[in-house]
Amino acid sequence: MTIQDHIKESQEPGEYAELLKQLRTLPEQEPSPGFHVHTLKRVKTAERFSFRRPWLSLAAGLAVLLSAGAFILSSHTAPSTDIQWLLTQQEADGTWNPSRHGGNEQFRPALTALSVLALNRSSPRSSKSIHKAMTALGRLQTEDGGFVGGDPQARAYNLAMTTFALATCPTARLQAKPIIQRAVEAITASQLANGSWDYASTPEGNVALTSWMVRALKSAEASGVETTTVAQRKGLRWLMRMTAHTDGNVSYKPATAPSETVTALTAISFISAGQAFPDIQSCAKQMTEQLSQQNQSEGQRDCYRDYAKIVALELAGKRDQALRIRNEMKNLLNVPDTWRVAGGDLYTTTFTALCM
Amino acid sequence: MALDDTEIPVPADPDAGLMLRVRDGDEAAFSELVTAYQKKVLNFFLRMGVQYDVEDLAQQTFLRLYRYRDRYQPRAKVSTFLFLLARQVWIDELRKRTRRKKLADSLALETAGDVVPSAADEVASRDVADVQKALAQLPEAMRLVVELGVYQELPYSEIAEILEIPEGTVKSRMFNALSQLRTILKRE
Repeated sequence: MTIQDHIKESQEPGEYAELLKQLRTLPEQEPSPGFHVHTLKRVKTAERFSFRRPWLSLAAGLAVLLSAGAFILSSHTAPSTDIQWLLTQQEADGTWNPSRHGGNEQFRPALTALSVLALNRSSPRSSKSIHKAMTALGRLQTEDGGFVGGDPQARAYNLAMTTFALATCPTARLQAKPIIQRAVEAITASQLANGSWDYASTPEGNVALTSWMVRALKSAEASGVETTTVAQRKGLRWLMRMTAHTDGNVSYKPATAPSETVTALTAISFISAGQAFPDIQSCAKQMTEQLSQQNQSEGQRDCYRDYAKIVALELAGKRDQALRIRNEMKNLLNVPDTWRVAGGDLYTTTFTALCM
Repeated sequence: MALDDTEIPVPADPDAGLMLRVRDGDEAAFSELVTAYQKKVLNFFLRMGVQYDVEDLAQQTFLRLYRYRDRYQPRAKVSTFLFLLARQVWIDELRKRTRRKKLADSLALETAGDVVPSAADEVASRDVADVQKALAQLPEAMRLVVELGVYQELPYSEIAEILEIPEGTVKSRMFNALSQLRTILKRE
C-alpha cells in the first residue's frame, strides 16, 4: 500500500488529495556543488576504504591516521593558537561548526566568520578555505540581511560578529561585499529607538552588543560598503550616555557590575570613531587608563576579555601593556579557558588566535 | 544451505545491484549511490527540521551506508536500508542536541532573555511557511511517517521496515498525521 492507495480508501479522498498537494509545495533543496566529492572524501578518510585500488587503500590508511590525529586534538584541550587545527576543522560545506567542538550550532555564521578572520591573520596560504567560507556564509545569510541563528540572541550575535569579521578581513571583503551590504542594512534595521542594540526586544540596550554593532558598521564603511553614519552616531551617543558616570569602568547593562571586557569593547568603538563627538576620545582615554591599571585575573584564562583588552590597548598606543597581556596568555595556554564551557574549543581557539 | 552472494537473486530494485558492488569494494558503485540518493537524504533531514547540519547529517548517513555495507540484505530495497540509517543518524543527533542544550543556554552570558518573533517566518512564502509550521507541530513519530510516505513516496511495507513497526501502525499513524495536518492548515 502507498499513500495514494490509502487516500483512495478514506471517506474524503478529494480532501486528502488536496492536502497532499499542499504538503508537496515545500521546495526541495539541492545539495551544494561539492557535496558529492566531500562525501566520498569523508568516507574514504573515516574508513579504511577497501576499494579495488591498492594505492587508494594506502592513501586512505594515511588519511585515517591523519584524521585520528585531528580527533585527538578536538577531543582534549584544543590547540589554542593552532591555525593548522582550525584549517582541518572546516566542514565540507565551508563553514566551521561550533557544535562539533563543545559549542552551540546556532553560532555557526559568527564562528565561521571569526575563523576566517583568524586564518587570514595567521595564514596567508588559507585563501582557498576563506573563499569556501565566503560562499557558505552567503548561503547562511537570510533575506533580511541577517544570518541564520535560531533564536533572536543568536541572530543578533551572528549579525554583529559576522559583519565585523567579513568587513575586517582583507582577503574576504571583496568577495563578501554584497553580503556585508545586506548585513549593514539588517544592522541598521535592528537598531533600537534609543540608538542601542539588544539581544532582546526591550529598549534597554546591551553595551557589548552595541559596541560590536558600531564596530561592524565602522569596519563596513572602511571596507567601501555604503553605510549611513546616522546609525553609528546614534549608537555611539548611546554608549557615551552609558559611560557618563562610570569613571571609565563600563558594565553590560545599567546597574550591573562593571566588566573589563565591556570597558575594552566600548573603548575600541570610541577610539575607532575618531572625533565623532567632542568628548569621545577623552572617554576612551579614561577607559584604557583603567584597563592598563587592572591586573590580569590570576591564573584565569579568558580569551574574549584578553582579545578586547589587547585591541583596545594597542589602538590607544599602549603596546607594552598589550604585549604583557599577550605574554600572560601564552603562559596560560594549557589552562582551560573560561569561555570553553559556553563557547567550545572553536570559540576559544579563534579568539586566542586573534590575539597572537 | 546458506547462499553466497553470487546465488542471491537481485530483486527488481536496480540499486540493489549497486549496493552489492559496494559490498565488494567498488568505489564507482558507491559514488553512483551517493549521486542517486543525496538529494533525497538531504531533504529528509531538512523536512525533519534540521537547519544547520543538513549536509553533515546526510554525509553521516552515507558514511554509515558504507560502514554497514556488509549488513545489507539484497532482499531489501536500498532505500529501505538507507532511510533506516538516516533515521538512526537523526535519533543520535536529537540525543546530542538535548545534551548540548545546557551549553547553548550558557552562551547567553551577555544576553537578556526576551524573545522576539523570528524574521525567517516573514521571509518564507506564506504557503510554504504554513506547511513547515504544520509539520513542525506533529509529534516526531508522525512526522517521520509523513516524511517517508508523502515526501519520499515509499510504500507502507517499506516504512514499516524502516521504523521497525507493523504496517498497520504505519497506516494509523499516517491517518492521524494527515488529520492533524488538515486541522492545523485549515486554522492557519
